[in-house]
Amino acid sequence: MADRTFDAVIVGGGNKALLLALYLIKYGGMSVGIFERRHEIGGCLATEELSAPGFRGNTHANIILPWYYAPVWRDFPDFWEYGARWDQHTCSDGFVFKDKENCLAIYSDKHDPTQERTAEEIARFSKSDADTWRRLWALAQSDELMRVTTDTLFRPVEEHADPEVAKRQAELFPKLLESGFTPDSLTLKASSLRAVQEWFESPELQSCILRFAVSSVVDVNEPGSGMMAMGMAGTLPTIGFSRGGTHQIAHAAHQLLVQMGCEFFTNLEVEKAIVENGAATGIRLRDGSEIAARKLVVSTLSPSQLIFDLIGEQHVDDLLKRRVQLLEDSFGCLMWYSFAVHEAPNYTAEAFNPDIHECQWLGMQPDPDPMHIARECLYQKLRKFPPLEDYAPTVGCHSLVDPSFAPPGKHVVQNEQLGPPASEHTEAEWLEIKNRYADELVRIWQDYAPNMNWDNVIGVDTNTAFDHTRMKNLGKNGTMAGVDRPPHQVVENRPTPELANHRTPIERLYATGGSWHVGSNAGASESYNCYKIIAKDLGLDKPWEESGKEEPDSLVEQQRIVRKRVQDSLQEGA
Amino acid sequence: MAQSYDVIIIGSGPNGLAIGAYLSRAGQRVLLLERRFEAGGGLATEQVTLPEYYHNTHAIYKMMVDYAPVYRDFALEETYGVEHIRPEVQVAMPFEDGRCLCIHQDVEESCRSIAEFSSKDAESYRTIHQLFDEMMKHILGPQTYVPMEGALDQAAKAELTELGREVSAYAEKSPQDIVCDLFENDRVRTLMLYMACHWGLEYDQAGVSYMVPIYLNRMSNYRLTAGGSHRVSNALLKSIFEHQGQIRTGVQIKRIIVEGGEARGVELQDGTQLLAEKAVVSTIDLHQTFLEYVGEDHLDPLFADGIRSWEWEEWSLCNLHLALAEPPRFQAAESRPEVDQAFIYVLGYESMEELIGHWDAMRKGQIPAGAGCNGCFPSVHDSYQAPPGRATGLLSQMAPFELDEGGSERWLQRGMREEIKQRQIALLQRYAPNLSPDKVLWTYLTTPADIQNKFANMVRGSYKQGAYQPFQMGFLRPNEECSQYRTPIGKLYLGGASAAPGGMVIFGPGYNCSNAIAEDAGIEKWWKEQEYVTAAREAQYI
Repeated sequence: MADRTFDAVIVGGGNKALLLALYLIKYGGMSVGIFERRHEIGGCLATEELSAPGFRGNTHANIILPWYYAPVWRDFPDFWEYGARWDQHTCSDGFVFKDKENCLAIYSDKHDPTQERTAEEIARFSKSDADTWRRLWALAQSDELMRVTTDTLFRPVEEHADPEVAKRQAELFPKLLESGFTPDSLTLKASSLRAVQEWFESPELQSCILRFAVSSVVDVNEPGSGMMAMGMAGTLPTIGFSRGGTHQIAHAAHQLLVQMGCEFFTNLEVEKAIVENGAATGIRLRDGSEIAARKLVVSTLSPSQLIFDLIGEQHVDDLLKRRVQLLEDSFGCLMWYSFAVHEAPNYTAEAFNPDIHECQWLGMQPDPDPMHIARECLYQKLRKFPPLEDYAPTVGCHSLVDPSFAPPGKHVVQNEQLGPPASEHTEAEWLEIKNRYADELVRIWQDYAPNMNWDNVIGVDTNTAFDHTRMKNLGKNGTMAGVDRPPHQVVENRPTPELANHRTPIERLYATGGSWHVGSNAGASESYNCYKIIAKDLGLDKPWEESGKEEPDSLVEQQRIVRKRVQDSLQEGA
Repeated sequence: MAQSYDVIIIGSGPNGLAIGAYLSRAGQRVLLLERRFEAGGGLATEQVTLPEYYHNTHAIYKMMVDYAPVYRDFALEETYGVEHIRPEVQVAMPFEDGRCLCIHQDVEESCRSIAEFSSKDAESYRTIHQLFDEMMKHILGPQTYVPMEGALDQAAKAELTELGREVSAYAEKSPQDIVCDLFENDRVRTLMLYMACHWGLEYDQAGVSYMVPIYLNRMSNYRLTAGGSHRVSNALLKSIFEHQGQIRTGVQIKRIIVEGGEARGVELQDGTQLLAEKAVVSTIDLHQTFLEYVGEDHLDPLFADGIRSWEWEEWSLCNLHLALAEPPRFQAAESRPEVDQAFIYVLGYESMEELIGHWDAMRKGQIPAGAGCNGCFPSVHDSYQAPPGRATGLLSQMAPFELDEGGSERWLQRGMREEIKQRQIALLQRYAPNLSPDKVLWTYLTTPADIQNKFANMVRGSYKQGAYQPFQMGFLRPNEECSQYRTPIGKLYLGGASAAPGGMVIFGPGYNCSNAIAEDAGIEKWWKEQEYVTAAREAQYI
């Protein structure tokens, strides 16, 4: 007899599990139990004080975009109030360049809703790029593009070819032509590097866009990601973060879930899905206890854990096994450091534009040439650090906008840089690399912000791919993306064609996670799309069929609401 | 639109959580407000070094698990799986000559260890072990979980029983005098004085030494929470959620809304107004509560002066957390293998002179070279807390907040932090030679300044929210107006460590404050007074 019984049992307690559980309970009417191996729920929605006590850092997920929780904000109005709040810096993105001590600031949607200020900054480098930027922003704001993007984000991939989706894509096409972002064959097949170089002439803006592509786990040299680069560019003004740290989002979901009767089990590792006659009927824990699932089991583990650990390879055909074994998962490995400091970095380039002081995603490069980024990606493919002169690290300082990130008068600065996968080095080597990289980074950083020297540093969180293996679903390499995002591992192929629609070879066993479409983000898509599949299979309630919640429009509206809310907060503050 | 609750609690440390848990289970609509990103306050367990190493970054040694009502009222073990480990060797004090003093759970074992140093002291320990146990059971334990009486009433009651008179007699002596009267051997005295004072008593100060019997009794009653201290707070938070209570983490308070002399709610920095119909409870420090959030406009000037002259703690702690390649093997374990299984180690004090030298230096804002500390290796007792074969460690040293050179900011200087780290590791290796620097894989430092940075209510590193001094203890904690948890502001309560009986995760203020609110607001209590409290009351001990 089972030790406990639920309608739905979710394996893993990260953000995908939490957000899916909201839907299974409220719209599926199910009892849900969540089983988490670690001591803390939230998975990569993690905020910790690792650089020094009192200094917060988002140890995994950091960037939050306004679309991430659109359905959750719509369907669970307390979500914001309970802590899932979004905010932006003055500059959401930008770059400082050492050679001319100048910078390019991309102002945030909060501070520059029309992007006129950004266009003026771009015009300091290229008037033509400024005009292209204006056209791009108008396109990015259009109903047509937002509908198509929202369709892509919040529909399971099997619905991407639905006639109504195709209709909206057709409606977008003339807008793309009009804006000058023609999705011709060359652009579709081009790398993002090539596409960005076609659209924009200034290497400064090219670097801004391409560095963000890297942060989205895109190798900028990879053919087939050209149009994706347009999306990246339009996203720059909307880069934001979660007030108080991304862990607040986990708290918000947790609180809603407990109130709705969801049960959480932490420090319990799941060993196997119990499979009877080809269907999942529950799970067995490492401690031997068994949990029965009346209706379904959902895995939020990695594809490899799903196939080889949870299901067991005897239930899986050879092709799928092979495909899962071949998944690429070493590009999205990061040095993701956090520095507790006395003073926020003061950039020399502030003389060029003082607003660059408060920039969430600030790149640093010896000169504007985007080939630094391109070469860095090539080194990453070789699982190696680039030479120091090709480092293009990004840095950002949340405490300038949200004082809760650091003690009064102090600051905390975070840094992202591609780094080797965890499996590339031994533990002893990693311990040495952890310290060495901090030294290297501070050496480079000082060239851009002279006060970023070791005297300014109180403590460092040396968070690397080696450390990221604390989340088992990030695999042996500790990649932030679960699996990488080359063109053959996205959308209908993510993680494999067989698994992309959240169904698995086992009946009543569903799967989602960061390795599923959309992937590599802390948003709700993977959960919401998984619920859509489950709702279809099991005949559950469908909030998107309720009046006023028609999609994609209700989700487009949510994105506009959250952005407006943040813009309004600025006026209230002023 | 303002949102309304029955009770709003500021701070979600152990006391805030306890109040929230008692009152939400009593049907009250409870909201907790927390500045940090995580509930639990000092009940923190974090992976601050390397993957799979769990560190209790603040509270670790639980001293009142056998008394505090929360553990039983909420059936934390049975319902929430919160287990405690009580190692048999509770305290070990190894010396450089390889000898070691051990305090066991078992009094006879302790006496055997002490007798190696002085048979007279072993006898003395046997006597006080019995005596302090009685004091704890009948007076000091029960007193923790009832409101403090006025000084005169309490003194009169103490006179009624012989045990009461003995407690009073202890209170009037300094810890050093108590220890020296009881024990003759210098090493035994050193251990006893350390264990009596290391939670913040002044070795030469009389007046609050009723705490000495408590701490010497608790010396053989420390427990480690399996899986880490945070599990205690998780369980209480779970109970709050199960009873529809809520929490907002990561929020900053602007003010406590006071109208007509009554607390009506709390306004957040972002302008959100949260109203409380029955009570606003502050579990944070007095300065923030009264001077920042209530505001002096609402306070009697004399009362406000009193709050301003509140004394923070004289000294705090400097904690070094260690990720170790292997558990320590103490030199002293060669002759007594059980030393390697001890819970708390006292390291680096070879004599009482050295220990007192440490305190005297702290008063001048210094830490003497080679100053001692206490240490713990939690994964030795709870394998969950480190990867297989590895170990977690903590070295905790008494340290002043303000340093004579460089003030408190010096704690945040990288050079100083490196120096502390090297010094502490070297100290440990003197007693556990296997832990050469290469066995220390990673560290995480929490200095007195870091404690203030982490917890805004622990001003100047005051992890008990204020000094244990005669005029700040008992009925005077924090002052005559507030030690019964009510304040001069109607419906505003104090429920944290600045209220009687004080800090150290004993859950006293939170429990007593819950009772006070229930009584004032006519809330039916689902919990009953602990039997040992009722018995003590009936026997007129309290």
